Amino acid sequence: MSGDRVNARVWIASRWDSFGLPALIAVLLVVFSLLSSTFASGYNLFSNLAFSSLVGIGAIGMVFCIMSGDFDISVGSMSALAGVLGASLVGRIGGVGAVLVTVVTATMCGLVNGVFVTKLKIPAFITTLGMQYVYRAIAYIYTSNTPVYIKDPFWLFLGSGTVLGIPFPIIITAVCFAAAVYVLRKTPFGRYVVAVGTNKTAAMLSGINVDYIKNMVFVLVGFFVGIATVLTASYLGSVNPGMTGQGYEFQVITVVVLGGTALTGGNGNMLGAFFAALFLTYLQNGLGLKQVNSYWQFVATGLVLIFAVGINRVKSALLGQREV
Amino acid sequence: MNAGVERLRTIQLTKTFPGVVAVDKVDFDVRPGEIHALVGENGAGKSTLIKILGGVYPPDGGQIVMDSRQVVFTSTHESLASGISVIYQEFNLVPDLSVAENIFIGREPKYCWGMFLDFRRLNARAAEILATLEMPLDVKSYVSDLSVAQRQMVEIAKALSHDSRLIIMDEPTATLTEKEVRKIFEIVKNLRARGVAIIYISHRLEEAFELADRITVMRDGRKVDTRAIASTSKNDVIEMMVGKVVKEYFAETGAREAPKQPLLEVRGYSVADAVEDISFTLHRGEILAFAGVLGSGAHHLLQSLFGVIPRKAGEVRFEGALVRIERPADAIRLGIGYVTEDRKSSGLLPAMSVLHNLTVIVIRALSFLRGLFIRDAAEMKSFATIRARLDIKLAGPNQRIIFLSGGNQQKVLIGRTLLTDCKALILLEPTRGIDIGAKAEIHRILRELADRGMSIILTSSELPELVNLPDRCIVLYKGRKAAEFTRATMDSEKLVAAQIGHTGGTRA
Amino acid sequence: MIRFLKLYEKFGIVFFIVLGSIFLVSVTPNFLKLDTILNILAQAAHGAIVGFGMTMALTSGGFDLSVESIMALTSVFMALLIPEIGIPLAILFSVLIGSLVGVLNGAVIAKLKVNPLITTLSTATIIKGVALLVAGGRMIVIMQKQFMAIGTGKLLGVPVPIYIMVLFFGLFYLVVYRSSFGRHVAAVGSNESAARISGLNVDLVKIGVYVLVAFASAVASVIRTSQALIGMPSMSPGFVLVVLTITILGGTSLAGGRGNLWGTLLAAIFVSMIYYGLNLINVQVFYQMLAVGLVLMLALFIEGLRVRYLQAAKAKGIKV
Repeated sequence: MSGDRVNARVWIASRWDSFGLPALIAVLLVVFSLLSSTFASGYNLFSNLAFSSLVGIGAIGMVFCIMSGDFDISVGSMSALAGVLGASLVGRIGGVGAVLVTVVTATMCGLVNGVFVTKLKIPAFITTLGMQYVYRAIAYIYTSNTPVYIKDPFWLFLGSGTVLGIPFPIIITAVCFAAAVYVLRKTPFGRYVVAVGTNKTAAMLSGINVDYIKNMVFVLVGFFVGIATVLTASYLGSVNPGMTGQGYEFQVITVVVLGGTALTGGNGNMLGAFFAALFLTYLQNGLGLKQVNSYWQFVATGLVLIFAVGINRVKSALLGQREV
Repeated sequence: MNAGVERLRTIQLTKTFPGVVAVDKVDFDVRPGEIHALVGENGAGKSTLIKILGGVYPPDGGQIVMDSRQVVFTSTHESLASGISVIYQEFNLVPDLSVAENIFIGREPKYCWGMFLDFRRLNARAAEILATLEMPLDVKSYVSDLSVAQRQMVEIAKALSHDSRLIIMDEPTATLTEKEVRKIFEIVKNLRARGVAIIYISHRLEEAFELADRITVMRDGRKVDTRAIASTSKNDVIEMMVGKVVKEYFAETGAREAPKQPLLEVRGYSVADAVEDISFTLHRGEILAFAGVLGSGAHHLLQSLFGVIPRKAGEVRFEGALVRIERPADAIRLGIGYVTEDRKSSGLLPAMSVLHNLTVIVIRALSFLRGLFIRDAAEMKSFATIRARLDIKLAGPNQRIIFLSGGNQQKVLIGRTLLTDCKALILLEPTRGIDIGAKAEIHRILRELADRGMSIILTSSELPELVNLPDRCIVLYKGRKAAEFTRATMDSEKLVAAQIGHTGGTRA
Repeated sequence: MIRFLKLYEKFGIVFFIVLGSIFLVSVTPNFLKLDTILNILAQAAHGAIVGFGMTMALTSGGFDLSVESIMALTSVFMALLIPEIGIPLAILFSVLIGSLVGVLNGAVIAKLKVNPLITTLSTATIIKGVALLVAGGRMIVIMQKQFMAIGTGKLLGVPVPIYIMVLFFGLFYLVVYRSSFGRHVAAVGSNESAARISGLNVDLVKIGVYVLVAFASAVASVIRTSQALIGMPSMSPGFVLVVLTITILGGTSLAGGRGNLWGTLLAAIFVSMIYYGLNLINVQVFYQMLAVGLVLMLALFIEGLRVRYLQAAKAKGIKV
C-alpha cells in the first residue's frame, strides 16, 4: 500500500514540470468561477490573460538570473525609473522614441547591476537592494514625485490595442517567451547560463567567461523589465514614481519559483514561469473580485512563494535530484 | 615505554565500500606514551582507518579496544568521549574566534546561569594547556591571524583539552616550514612524555624515523608489518610500502618512442606558497607525470599552468612562442585541455545531461554562425563520436551526468577536452575514485592519444599509475624538483623515496 | 597599504564621522551646540537599534529584509492595544508579537533551509499584509499623549531615545562579545560546518539571531510610533536599506563571523548627521534616499576593492 503511495507521488513529481501548473490553474479557474460569476466572464478571463503579461515578461529575465545563481530585487524600481523617463519624453521624441527610451533605460539599469556584481564582486542581493533605492530616488527626483500620464496613441495601443482580435500584450508575451525559450534551449548562451548556475567553477574551467554571462543575465533582466514596463504604463495610462513597480520584484520572483526554476541555480523552467504568471494574476484577480481585502493579497502572495519553494523541494527530493 | 597494556587495539578491523575493501582485517595497536607512525601509499587505507577510529565510519567487521575495554562508536562525539581526538588535514577551526574560544568551543566556562562567557577562566585554562605544551601562542589572538603551523597547535591544544588519551594526526607537517616542523615535533614529544598515545600519519619518512617509536606500514588496505623504529631502515619501509603489486594489473607496454619536438617549455616557474623555480619541457606525444605527496606543489603547478591560479614568476613557451595564461579560456584557446581532480566540485555540471556536459566546451563551434543556434545534428555527431571512441557506458545522451559511474564521468570529462582538438592535455589525478577496470581503460585511452601526437601532462598519487603510464616522471618535494625518471630508469622504490624526501642520490 | 586596509576594516567609520562633521559644520553654525548634537543622536536611535540586530544577523552569515514589516506590525498593535490595556502592557505585547516574527524567520531559515533572501522577503510581504489587515488599511491615531514621552521626552535634558539606544548598545555588546550565544553566532557565521561538528546547536543559534533582530525592530518601532503618535501599517519604507547601509558601513562583514557593533553605532550617528544636514539645507526627501543608496554602494565598492586587493596580494606571496 505505502509503496503505491510513494509511486504515485513520484509520478506526480515527474509530471509536475509539464502539467502541474496548468492543472493548478485549471483548479483555480474552476474554484473562482464557481465563487464569482464576474470572474467567469469571457471578458474577465481574457483581459487577465493580457494582464498577466506584465509579471510574465518581467519574469523572463528573472528566470535567466536565478538560473545563473543570482537574484535581482531592484526590478520594481528599474521599472519606475524607465517608465517615468520614457513617458516624460513622449512630447519631445514621440511615442516610438519614448518606448525605446524606456526599454533602453531599464536595460542600462540592468547593466549597472551586472557591473557591480561581476566587477566588484558584491553579492547580488545587496547590490540590487541598494540600487533599488537609488533607481527609485532618481525617479522621484526626476518627476518631482508627480505621475506622468501617457496619452500617446502608439504607446497606448501597445497596451490596449488588438491585432486581429488578439490583445497586443498577449502577442508580445508570446513573442518574448518564444524568444526566451529559444535562447535557452537552442543557443550556446542558454547552455552557458545553466552551466554557470549549476557549477561556476566547472563552467570557468570549460572556458566560459563567467563574468560575462552573469553580466548579460542582469542586462536581460533589465531588458525584459523595460518591455513589461512599456506594457504596464500603456495599460494603466500613467507611470507613477512611487507606485509603479511596488512589490514587483516579489511577484516576479514568486512567479519564477512557482514556475519551477530552482532557487539554487541550474535548470530553469521558462514556460513554467509563463503559467505561474497566469496563476498569480488569476489568483489576485479572483481574490479582488470576491471583495477580499486587498491586503490579503500580500499575505497570499507571500504564502505562494513559500508554497512554491516547498513544492520545488519536495519534487527534487522525490526525483532523487541532488539539491546542490 | 610501558609494554603491556595498550592504549588502543584494533582486531581484524574491516571496512568495505562498493567495489573496494578499504581496510582489510587490520590488527593494529598503540601504546600509551608512544608515537606510532602510520605510513603507506595513497589508497593504502590510512585515511579510512583513522576515520573509523574517529567515529566517521562504522566498521564492517572487527573490534576496537580502548584501554582494555571494547568500544563502539556511532558518531564523532562518541569517539571523542572515548578519549580519541583526530586532527584532520583540513582543520575544524573557526577563524573569527580566538584561540581560547576555539579550544573550548561548546564547552566554555560560563557564569550567570550559563549566559556569559567567563573569559578570565577561559583564557587562563587555555593558557595553561598551551603552557604545558610549550606553545608560544597568545590565547586571545584570532585564529584567522594564525599561520598554518599555529593552527595546528590550536588543534593539538583542543585535543588535549578533551583529555584525549589517543591523538591521531593526519599529515600534520605537510605544509609547514622547517622551523615550524621543529616546533611541532617538540610539542608531539611533549605529548608523549605525558603518556598520550599518538598515531602520526605522514608521507615524510625522515620525520617518522626521527619522531616515532614504532612504525606500521599499510598497503592495499592491509597491514604489512609493524616494527620498532630502531630495528628497521627507511629502505625496508619503502620496500614494504611498494611491494610487488605494482606491475600486476597493467599490461606491460613496450617502450614508446617519444618524439623530441618540444611543445611546452616552462622556465623558472613559481606559484606562491606552493612551487619554487620549476623548469621542464613537454614534448609532442609525450606523457609526463608529476608525482608528489600533499604539499609537494604538483597540483598547484598544473593548475597554474592552466590559468586556474595565478603564478608568481616564470615564463611559459607554447609551440615556441611566449604565452601568458591568466585564465582557463586563454589556455583553451591555445589548445590546452584540462581535466580536474575533483569531478564533483569542479568538473561536472550536475544539472545538465551527459550530452550537454560533453559539448558545452565547443558548443559555439557546433552552432550556426558560432552562436546563433545549435545544430542538433552536429552536436549529436560529436557526442556519438566521443562515446564510441571512449566507450562511454550510459543510458542515453540525455541522461543526467550525475547518474553515471565515476569512470564514465571521467571519460565524459576527457571527451570534453578531446572535442577541442587540443594539443596538450592536463589531467589531475585522472583515475582517482575509479575502479581498476575503468582505470585501465583510461590509461589505454591516454596512451592512444599520446601515440597520435597529443602531449599529456598529469599528476598522480597512485604508484602503479606513475610507474606504468608516463614516459617521464618528475617528482616534486616541497615545491621543488626532487627526482626525474624515464621509463628506462623508473624505479618504484626510488620514486616513493623521492616523494617523501629520501633522495639519497637519485637526483636526475 | 595592507596594514592600512586592515585598519580600515576596524576604524574606517571614524573617517566617515569626521567627514560628516565637516559637512555639518559647513552647513550650520549650530553644529557644535549641545542641542543639535543631542538631536542628531536621538534621531540615530532607531536606526542604531535595528542596526544592532542586523549586525547580529550579518554576523551569523544571513540577513533580515523583513525589519520594516515587523516595525509596521508592532506599530499597529500598539495603536490598537494602548486604548485597551494601557501603555506598558501594550508595549510588552506588541514587542512580543514583533519578536515572534523572528521565530518564524529563524525557523524557516534554520530548519527548512530556505535562504535568508527568499525567507525574509516572503515574511516581509506576508507581515506587511497582516499589518495592513489588522489596521484596516488606515493609520491609527493614538490618543494617549503620554505615550509621546518615550519618543520625544527628555530625562535630565537628554532625549529618552538616546538612553534606550545606549541601553541597547550595552545589551547587544554583552550578548555579542561576552555571552556564549554571541560567540556561537560568530562561530556559525565564520565556519558553520566547524561549528556544527564542535557540537553547537546551529539551528537554535540561527533562530535566536532572527528573534533578536525582530526584537530590536519592535523596540525601534515603539520609539518611532511614540514620536508620531500614529500606528502606521506602512512604516518607513526604505528603512531596511538604511539599516543595511549602517551595518555595512560600520564594518560588519557580509560574509559573517565579524560583527562590528561600535561601527554600527557610529555609522548610525553618521547617517543621522547626513539626514540632519540635508534637512537643514532643505534637500528633498528623495535626494536623501538617493544619498543613502549611494553611500551604501560606496561602502560596498570600497569593500569590494579591499577584498580584491588583499586576494591579489596573497597570490603574489605577500603575507597578509
